[in-house]
Amino acid sequence: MINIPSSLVKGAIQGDSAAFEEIYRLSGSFVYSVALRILANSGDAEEVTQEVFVKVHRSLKDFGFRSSFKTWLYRITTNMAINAYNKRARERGRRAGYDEALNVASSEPCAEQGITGSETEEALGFLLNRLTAEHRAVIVLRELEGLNYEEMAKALNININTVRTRLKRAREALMAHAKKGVIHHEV
Amino acid sequence: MRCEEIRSLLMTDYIDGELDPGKETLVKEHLAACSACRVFEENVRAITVAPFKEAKVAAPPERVWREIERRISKKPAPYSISEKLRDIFEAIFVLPRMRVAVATITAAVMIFALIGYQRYAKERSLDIYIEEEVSFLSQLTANGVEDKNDYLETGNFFQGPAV
Repeated sequence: MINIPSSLVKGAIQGDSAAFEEIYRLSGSFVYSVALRILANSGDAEEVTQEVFVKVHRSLKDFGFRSSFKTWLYRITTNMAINAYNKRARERGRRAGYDEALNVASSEPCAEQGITGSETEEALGFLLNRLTAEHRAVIVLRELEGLNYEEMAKALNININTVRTRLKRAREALMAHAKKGVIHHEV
Repeated sequence: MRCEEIRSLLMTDYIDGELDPGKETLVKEHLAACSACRVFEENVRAITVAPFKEAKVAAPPERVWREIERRISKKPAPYSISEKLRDIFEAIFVLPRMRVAVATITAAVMIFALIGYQRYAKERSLDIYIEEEVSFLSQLTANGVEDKNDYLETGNFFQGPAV
């Protein structure tokens, strides 16, 4: 995610709706991508994205610049996505998967290029579906968003050793599935 | 460093560029000398890192923004009491640690309430017994006044009047 200028954040705090929309335009795709990778469901990812930005709009006055806006946004996004994933898992209801996400993203006008169907995306979906929500979150933040351990710890509100442990467990799970032959070798 | 320690670092800090220069040098020296760990590193990169290199950013449909805009514009106040209560409810009952804390506190309250009720019930039954004894004594006739003295003299207050 690119850094959001603090002037935009301050404008949004003061009620500037254009500033808030600009924040959405700059960060909405990243929020949606993180939610989509964790939830593996476009409908759920859309709902979470809406909830994230409504919460951000509601809580802007409490933000206080105690952390970077990006970190704060990642924290809200991963918390909501993980909670939504665990809730769906409890309800044992899954709707469309990655295929729907590919079709929806390519049929709507958008600021950035949507995900197009490809072997890479299928492989990614396959990989991430092998992981728990918490493990998906660390892999997504590390490999897709490029956060370092300290940033991930702040975004997930855990300590750095927990970040390290979760990453290790997530990678062990992926390698274990690869060893079983579940993941194709070209991946 | 042993292979086990090296592989643990290969799965985390080394592959993520989080190692300090000294440790990174140690790992590289080990990899130069250990073919098994070299193969392990290649597998870790191929399976857990490389697939994500070409991942693209997904764009949300425009309806997402329209819905956000609708929801944030219709509210007169940014944060109503019901939403605050909902957030508190979610914080208490959704977060796993809070769920355990709430369950523990609830169990403790129930246990203390049960103990308190039992003590109350015991004291209440004693109160009822005393009331009945007082009522019994007050129903004694004028002659019963003497009977009362019988009680007091004999000390058989609880055992009944002296026969």
